[in-house]
Amino acid sequence: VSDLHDLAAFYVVGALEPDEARTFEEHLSGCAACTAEVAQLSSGVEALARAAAEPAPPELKGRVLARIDASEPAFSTAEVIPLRRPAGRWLGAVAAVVVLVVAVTFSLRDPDPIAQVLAADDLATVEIRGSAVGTATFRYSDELDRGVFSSDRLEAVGDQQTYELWLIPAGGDPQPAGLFVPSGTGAVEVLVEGPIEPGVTLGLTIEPAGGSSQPTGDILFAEGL
Amino acid sequence: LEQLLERVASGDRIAFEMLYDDVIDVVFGLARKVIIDRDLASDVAQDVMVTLWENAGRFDAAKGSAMAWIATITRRRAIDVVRSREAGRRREEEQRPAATVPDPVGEQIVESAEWSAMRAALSSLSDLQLQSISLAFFQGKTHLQISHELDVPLGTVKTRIRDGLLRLASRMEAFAGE
Repeated sequence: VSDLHDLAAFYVVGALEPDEARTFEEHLSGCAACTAEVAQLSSGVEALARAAAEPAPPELKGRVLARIDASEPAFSTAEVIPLRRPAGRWLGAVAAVVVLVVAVTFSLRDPDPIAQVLAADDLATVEIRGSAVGTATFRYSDELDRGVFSSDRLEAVGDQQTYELWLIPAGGDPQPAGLFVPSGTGAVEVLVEGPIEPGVTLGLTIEPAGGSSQPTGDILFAEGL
Repeated sequence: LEQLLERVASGDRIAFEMLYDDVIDVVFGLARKVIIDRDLASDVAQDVMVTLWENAGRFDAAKGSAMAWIATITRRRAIDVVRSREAGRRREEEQRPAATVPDPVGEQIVESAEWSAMRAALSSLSDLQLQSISLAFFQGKTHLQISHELDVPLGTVKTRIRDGLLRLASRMEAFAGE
């Protein structure tokens, strides 16, 4: 398919290859015509969905509510390990919304951000212990406000699961810090973009594919930086 | 529904129960169009509802209605389940080479009673439109696979899907206007 504008119909029914879908989504955010087309076609998807309705088993509701009630406390039970580096002054309120980006391989605007972090003058290394994460470290640079999480043998996750990293500001809620799936050998090297403030804790959970906005899975580690 | 999602995103459990009641039959019904097995479809519906509780904040009204978003999540999850089961079955069969490879889920679904009920509700669609839409939406085929399978050009597949969705969309608007 040559023209991006032609992809809307395929996009709404999920018929694009994953990389095509990503390209189209990027295009979508800047193209009013395609956004309008997607919105219109998606009401066709809604009609299709409503036509497919059939009565769900009544016991399902109790099971769903039990699961969401069980998932709520999530990170409040995490063990928070205190500061390891010299106690710096609190640097002020963390900006409200920060987009955290993880580049597992390459980022287009930056040839190799992982190598950049690892070459930083002020590189700090934190060893992470936890039976599920092999020999894991988080190396980070205050100056670059970025870090690299690596492990040599993370267990594989199911088809519908992903690892999700979290940055938990002191006294704040966990912020998603990136999704990844280990390679066949279990080795990972993942870029984590800040804010990496004093008192922040790095955490790891397993989440449903696509990730979660708050941790729901078991905490594999929670390590203070 | 859009407002309910907004409340759910802020952790409103009562709003979640209302959302559940509003969408569960659609979520379950959609899952069953992809997976015949009731128990497995129930598991998918359960996962989808938990996903909605956790990710309601990701809904973007600019890209369509809340129900369309929920439908897309449901079909994705159901197709993933079918695929991982098929992969598991293939692994088993490699160890028992005598077994025959099962047909993909699709054929039997189109014949099923569930499908014929839906077919009646979708009477405004031509057979060809419904065929292309359901190959993509319920069976997870890509545009290239559909074009290959039906032996028609990609542009034809696009037109069938697009025109079919527009017809469905105009029906939705008619409902809304009633």
